[in-house]
Amino acid sequence: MKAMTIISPGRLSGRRHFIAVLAILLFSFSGASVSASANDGEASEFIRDLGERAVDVLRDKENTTFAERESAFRNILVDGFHLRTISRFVLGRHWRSATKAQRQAYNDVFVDFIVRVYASRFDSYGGEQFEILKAVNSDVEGDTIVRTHILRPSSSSPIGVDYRVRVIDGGYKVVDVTVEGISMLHTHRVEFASVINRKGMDGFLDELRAQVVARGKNAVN
Amino acid sequence: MTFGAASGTLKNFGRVLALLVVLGVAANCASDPPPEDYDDQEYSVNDPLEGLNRVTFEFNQTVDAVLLKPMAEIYVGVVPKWGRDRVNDILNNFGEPSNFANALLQWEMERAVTSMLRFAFNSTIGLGGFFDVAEGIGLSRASEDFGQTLAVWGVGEGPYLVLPLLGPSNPRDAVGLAVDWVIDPVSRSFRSHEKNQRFIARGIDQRSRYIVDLETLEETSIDFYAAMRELYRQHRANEVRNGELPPPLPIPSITLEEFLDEEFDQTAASGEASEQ
Repeated sequence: MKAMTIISPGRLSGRRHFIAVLAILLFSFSGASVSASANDGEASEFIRDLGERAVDVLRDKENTTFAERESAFRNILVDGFHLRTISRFVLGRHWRSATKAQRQAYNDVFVDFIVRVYASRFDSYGGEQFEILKAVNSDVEGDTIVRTHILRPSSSSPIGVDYRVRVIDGGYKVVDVTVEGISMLHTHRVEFASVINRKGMDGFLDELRAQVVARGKNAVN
Repeated sequence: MTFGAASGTLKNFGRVLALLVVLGVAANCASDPPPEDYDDQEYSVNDPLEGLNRVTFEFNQTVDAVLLKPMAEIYVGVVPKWGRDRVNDILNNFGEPSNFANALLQWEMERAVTSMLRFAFNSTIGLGGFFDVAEGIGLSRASEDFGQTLAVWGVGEGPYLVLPLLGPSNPRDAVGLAVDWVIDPVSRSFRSHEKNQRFIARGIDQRSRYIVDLETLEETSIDFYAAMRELYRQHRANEVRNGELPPPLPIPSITLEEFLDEEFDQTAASGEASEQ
C-alpha cells in the first residue's frame, strides 16, 4: 500500500498532538449525540424494562433449559407486544379471504409460531448489552419509535434495533421491531404471502404448524 | 475518472450495464403503490423472474453448502477471533477508497471525510489497516457502494435478481457491483490474481460472520427464498438511507371488538368468499 507510511519517531510528537486534538473533537461530537438521548420518554422506559427482562433470560443460560427460556420469552412477548395487531397485519389481505375456521386456526398457531421462531433466533445470543439511543415520535398512529443499539461481544459494530411502540388500551405495546432497518413485521408478511400464493391458506397453516413442531423438537435437544 | 486500464473488457460490459440501467429505470416508473392500498402491497414484490431466481437461489444454496460454508467453518475453526478481526479490518480498509468515492458521488460530505480519515488513520497508525484504530475514536465505517450512489441519483431498485454465486441483487445493485469492481482504486492497483484473492477472502470473511445467523434464519423460515428477498430489499433500502428511520408503515391497531367484528362480517360474507 502506497498510503501506508511508517511514522518516524522524530515526527511523532507533532502528529500525536494533532491526533489528540482531533480525537478530543470527535469525542465531543459523540458526547453531544449521547446527551441528546437524555429526553427518553416513558416509551423508552418501557423498552428498557422489556430489554432488561430479555437480557436476564439470556444471562443465566447455563442454569436454565431452553424450555424455561422459551416460556420466559413467551411472557415477555405477550406482556410487551400487541400480538393481535401483529398477527392481523402480518396476514395482510389474506385475512379478508380466509374462512372463519382458517382464521381460528391461524390465531391458534400464530403466537406459538412467533414464540418458537424468535426464541430460537434469540437463544443463540449471550453477553449482549443494549443501550437506548433516543425516542422519536412518528406521525403515524401517534407511535413512538425507540431506537436502541445492541452491542455484541462477538463484533465491534453494534446492531441497530428500533421498537415501534404504541399506546393501546392505556398501556405501551410494541407493534413492530426493526433490525438494522429491516421490519420483522413486513418481512413475515411478505414471506407468509409468498407461501399462501404457492400453497393456499391451508397449506400455509400446515407450514406454520410444521415449523412449531420442528422448533419444539429442537428445544428438547 | 479514467477507464483506460479496463477499456478492453469495458466494451461488452458497457452494453450489459446500459441494459441493466434501462431495466432499473423502467422498473422504477412502475413501483410503489399508494400507501392506502397497503394491504395489497405484498403483491407489489417486484419479482417477475421468480421462477428463474428460485432456481439460481437453489444453485447458490448448493454451492454454499458444499463450498463456501465449509470453508467459512474451517476458517472459524482454524483462525482465532483475533486473527479473523485483523483480516476483516484489512479488507475493510481496502474498501475505504471506494466508500470515499461513492460518498463524494452522493455528496455525503461527512461520510466522505469519515472514510478518508479512517483510511488515513488505519493505514498508518493502524499498521496498513491491520487495526481499526479509527473506530476507537468514533469514526465508524460508513459503507457506500455504487448501487447506493445510483439509488441516491434516483435509479429505482428494479426487479429482484438472484445472481449466480453473488446472491441477492437487482439491476441497480448489479450495475453498482460491476462499476465498483472496475473503478475501485484499490482493485485497479492490484494484479489480477490479487483481485481474485481479495474477492475470495472477502467472501469467506463475510460468510464466516453469518454462519449461525443464516442457519437460524433458514431453519426458522417457512419460505427462505422469500425471507431472503425481503431482507435484501430492506437491507439495501436501509443502506441507502444511511440507517436513518424509514417512513413508518401503516400498521392499524386491531381492538378485540374489531377482531371479533371482522369474524362476524366474515361469517356473513363466507358465501361470497367461497365463490372466489
